[in-house]
Amino acid sequence: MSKATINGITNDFVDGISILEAAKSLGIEIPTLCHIENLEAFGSCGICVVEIKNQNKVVPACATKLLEGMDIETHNDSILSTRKMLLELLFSDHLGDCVPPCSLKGCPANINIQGFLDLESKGKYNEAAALIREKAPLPNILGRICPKPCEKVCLRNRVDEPVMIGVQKRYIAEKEWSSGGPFFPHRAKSSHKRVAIIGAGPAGITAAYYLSLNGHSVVIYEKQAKLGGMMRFGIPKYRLPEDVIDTELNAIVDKLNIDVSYNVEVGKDIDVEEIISKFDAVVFSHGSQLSNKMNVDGEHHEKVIKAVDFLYKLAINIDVNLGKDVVIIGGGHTAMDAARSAARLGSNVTLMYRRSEKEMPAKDEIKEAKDEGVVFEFLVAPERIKRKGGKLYLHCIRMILGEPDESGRRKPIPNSNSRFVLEVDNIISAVGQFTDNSWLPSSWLSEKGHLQVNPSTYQIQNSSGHNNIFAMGDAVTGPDLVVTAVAAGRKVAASVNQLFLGSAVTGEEPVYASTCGELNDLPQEMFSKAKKIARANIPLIDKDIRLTSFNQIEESLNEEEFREESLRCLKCGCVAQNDCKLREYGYNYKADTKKFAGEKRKYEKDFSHLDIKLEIDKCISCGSCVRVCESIKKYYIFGYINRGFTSKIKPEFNRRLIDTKCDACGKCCEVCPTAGVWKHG
Amino acid sequence: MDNKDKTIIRVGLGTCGISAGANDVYDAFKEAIAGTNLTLEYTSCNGMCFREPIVDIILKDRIISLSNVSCGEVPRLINEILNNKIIDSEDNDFLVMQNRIVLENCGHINPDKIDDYLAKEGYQALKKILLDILPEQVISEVKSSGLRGRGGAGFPTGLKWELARNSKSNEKYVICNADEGDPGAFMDRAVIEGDPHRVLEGLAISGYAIGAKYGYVYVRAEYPLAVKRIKQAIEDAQNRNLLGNNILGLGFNFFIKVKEGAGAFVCGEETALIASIEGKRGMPTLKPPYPAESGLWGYPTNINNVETLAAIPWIIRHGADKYANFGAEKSKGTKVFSLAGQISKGGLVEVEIGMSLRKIIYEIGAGTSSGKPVKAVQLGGPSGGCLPESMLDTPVDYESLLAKGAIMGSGGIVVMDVDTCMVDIARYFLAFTQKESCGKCTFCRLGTKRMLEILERITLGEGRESDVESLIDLASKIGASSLCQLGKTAPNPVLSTLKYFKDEYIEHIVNKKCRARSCKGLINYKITNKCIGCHLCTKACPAKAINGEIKEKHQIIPDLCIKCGICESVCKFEAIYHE
Repeated sequence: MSKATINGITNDFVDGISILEAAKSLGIEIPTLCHIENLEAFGSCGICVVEIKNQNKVVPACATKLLEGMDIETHNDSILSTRKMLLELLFSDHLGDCVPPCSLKGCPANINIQGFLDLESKGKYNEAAALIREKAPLPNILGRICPKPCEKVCLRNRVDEPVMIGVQKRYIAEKEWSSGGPFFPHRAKSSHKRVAIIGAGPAGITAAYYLSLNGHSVVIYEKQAKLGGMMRFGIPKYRLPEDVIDTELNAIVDKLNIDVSYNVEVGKDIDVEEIISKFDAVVFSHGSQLSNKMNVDGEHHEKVIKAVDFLYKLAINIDVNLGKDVVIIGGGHTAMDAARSAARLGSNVTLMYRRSEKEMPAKDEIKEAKDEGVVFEFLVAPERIKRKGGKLYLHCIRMILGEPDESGRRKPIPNSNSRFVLEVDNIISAVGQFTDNSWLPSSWLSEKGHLQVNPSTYQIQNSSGHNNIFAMGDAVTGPDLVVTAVAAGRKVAASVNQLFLGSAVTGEEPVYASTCGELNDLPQEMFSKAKKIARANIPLIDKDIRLTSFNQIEESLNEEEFREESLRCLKCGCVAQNDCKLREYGYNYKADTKKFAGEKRKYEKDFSHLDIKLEIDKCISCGSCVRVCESIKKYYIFGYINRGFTSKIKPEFNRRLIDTKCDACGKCCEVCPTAGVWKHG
Repeated sequence: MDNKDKTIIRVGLGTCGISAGANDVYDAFKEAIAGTNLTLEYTSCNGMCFREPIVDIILKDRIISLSNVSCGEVPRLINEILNNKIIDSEDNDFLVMQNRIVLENCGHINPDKIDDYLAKEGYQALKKILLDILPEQVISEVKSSGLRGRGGAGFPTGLKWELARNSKSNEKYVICNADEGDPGAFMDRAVIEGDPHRVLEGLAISGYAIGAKYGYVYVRAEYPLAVKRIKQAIEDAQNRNLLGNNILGLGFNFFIKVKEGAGAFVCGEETALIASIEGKRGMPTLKPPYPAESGLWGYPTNINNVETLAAIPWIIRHGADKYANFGAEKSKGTKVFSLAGQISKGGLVEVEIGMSLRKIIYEIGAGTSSGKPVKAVQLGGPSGGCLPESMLDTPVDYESLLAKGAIMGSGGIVVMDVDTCMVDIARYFLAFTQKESCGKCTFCRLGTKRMLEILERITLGEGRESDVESLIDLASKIGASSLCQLGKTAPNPVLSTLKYFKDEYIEHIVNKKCRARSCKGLINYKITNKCIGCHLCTKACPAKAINGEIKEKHQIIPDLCIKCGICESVCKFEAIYHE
């Protein structure tokens, strides 16, 4: 026996064991990427380094025998920072997307897109819906109205066109509903904690969903008589039919025992203080409904309408009488919704935007709007509105684009010699919204009146010592996407849950992942083998019919067509994403995957073998496959080739795996810490 | 006529001589002596590489040494020899301060003639120990000589032998490490090419001392002449029963094989070298176990560098005390250095350990080739460090150099004058080690790459404020966590230049300036009002980067300029300068 000290614990250890094994016997886990039990230590990866204090030496724990008198530290600051740097170096040469970009960078809610498309392609609709609901409980609604940032970063953009992702969620939900859904997971046992949520918009409903599933009892205070917030009162029915909202939201509220107090305006009907005192936590998600002013003379005329009010009236079926010629001012989705609604009311509609088409936030709907007769005037801004007789005279000025502003978009500059006047009947202004926070304690607000929240936990700052008050959604960010509000709702639920469990409130962990880089920087070889397959298109109802009603304009595809489309997914996510030691340690050690951005190994796959797949570009050169094949199997299939930065592990003599005598025993796959080599199926 | 009375013409045919044209010179003499009573002979490098091709004329009473001989001179020289008019051109200063032990025969004997070696007391040491010295006594003799490993690490040779001797095994091996790979180091090559039997004798003695029957000479295949000569030497020694079964009838069996290395620098590392002999990829393994316990094929193995082994016969012949008379307190004997870089007299020098760098560079090497002041000296190859001019009085011994941040290494001394950019030098050495990393350890494979990228961007003028800190952080972790010495020492050139020349790094990063004006990314050529529009520069510019009407001031287009400096050199009006 040898007496030695590890992390201050002195113990007798069996002679001849490694420091790694000795630490393990004390319950101290030292990370390793290359160590294989029962094989001779190799010491290549270097992550198992420990410090022998009394020898002033750093050694690999796997390959160093424990000797009498050693005083070892396995987790001191210098060792931790060495391991962190080591992981950062490994990431710098690891060409892989743990999580596909659609989910990681595209979707604000990080929905597992590759996963649900795969389930959908196999006809497992209920499982697909459940997978979506792990991140977002509104698949049907999102499937109709999300502007699909996921599709913009879909790697298929580099092959042909992005996979049609958005609409699939709606189809999956419809299939689920038709088989008796929506189905939700079982609620956890009651925690006896009570949470109040102000506002039943997408953020509020989502937070309620996850909090209720976690066993907390939820009360929502809603100013309106119905659920949905801006989804119902801001989005026209031709995009999102009322019955879809009702079915999806009522199911959540009913099945999860969420208590909703309708027609209650907090701050007016009930005091903020009172709510705070009655509940264990309070979440503010009251939206952002006040319209910005255009700041032009004459905008207070009754025929100048605010888009938010216009859309609200349509939502609750109040008749709005618009004149023949209507101008919409603004370039966001609200402007677009107003323009296309006005067109459905029979007006001649012009949408006026001060920047160009390229900068327009709602550019995804331009084609459909043009089909519906909306005329676009880009690079035009209003200067003043005059009234004469029954008409409005809109004085306009043309703009030119200057240098990019803070938003990164080029700033429009007036061109003084380009003034003109339009004679119109109504003007609808849609130049942004802001949040009414006037009813909240002023200490919670910034000088400009904005709610200040901790960006990770969503706790309201300056809430005089309260750690149980949260805010989220448009109320904090200003108008944003529904999917962004859904993401915030889920994250707030995570924070509240942490609070109720009595653990530190840190918020939901951001997704930790390595990435191959930005869409347009990726090497072309990555896509050279992908076959082009035409993207499916969702048919729209005939445009003449469209203009006669507010019926939903998107039709559907049949099951086979949706299946075909889901199979277009390139499956960019890593097969080892949930079983990768590099990712696990990277996360544990908070390694910055981009710290040492520099030259990376080249894209290189060997999929020649039917069962064993090689992703040489994901290999971290630990040598485990080489050693296991050599020592256990005696096949000597893998070896190191080249030297220096270009050294890598491949089948010896640069052969393809299929040309070796590999019999697919899979031993290499078992020891590979990443997806360098993996077994198919 | 007796051989002694003959005039012998001896051409130096070492690799350095041959690359300077000595083979042609040899052939020219061969043709020219036909019909005369002159004899033609060859030897190898005598260390004065700067004088190659060297031809010695061995007269009855003296030796005349000729430098930089060309084929065209041969008829005239023959004429002068025959008419007794030949004049010595030897530059004796170079040899005066040297003490030649390892190099004693280099440049004096024909390496392909075993008799030449035997005439210089060759194999006497082997015979002596086989006759009446026990292996333990040999080891104790080597220990008391104070000889330390000349390959770089400086481990006491006698102790190393003792460890291998004490390892119990039926079979043991000795290996001569001739995988010399440091840029600027060529002493092992010169010794094998010039005096191969001395190395074989040393190896046989080490085999006797530790109890090994088999020895390997691991020599890099890029040294074809050394390979050829050592193979010839083995054959000749076997024919004379100086190797093989029952050597000289004294009961010792010893066989030597040559293994040619395929060119990986890391194979100079003991464990990688062993892997390479075994037919595996040259990749180091963690020590312990040391080769003395478990080496080639798992048997106890002793590995010594060429120069170390070449010192052994001399030590046995002359006694440990005599050897230990040379040198410094903890570093006994002599060391061969290769003087390279911007040095007037580049070549091999063998001096007492402890001589100052200044003496070696100025008194033996005659200062820089440019005549400009020395700026720094890189010692110990890519694993070593750069010392500034102010430290030239440092005695060259293992401890003193280590204390200053450099190492003795295999003995490469690269001299740099003031026109050398120290960031670029660090980049050069790191690029070398990075390319030679075996790829096993993460820190060595990737850490050195990221350091190199940082150095590259600094020399391109794209350095960032945080770069120095990143370099130091990377360097310390690479140094602490790599398995072998290649990785552990790879950051040394960066660390030592950062230690002594940090200003230059800062200048590159902050001021975007390279004081040595060697980083092209930081040079800008400009045309002043002195320009008269003569068009000379426009015509000379290979990149067509200069614009301007004739008789009007010209302009350089920065995007096209490749910064070659031709414009500045052709301008007759001093109108072009660079900053």
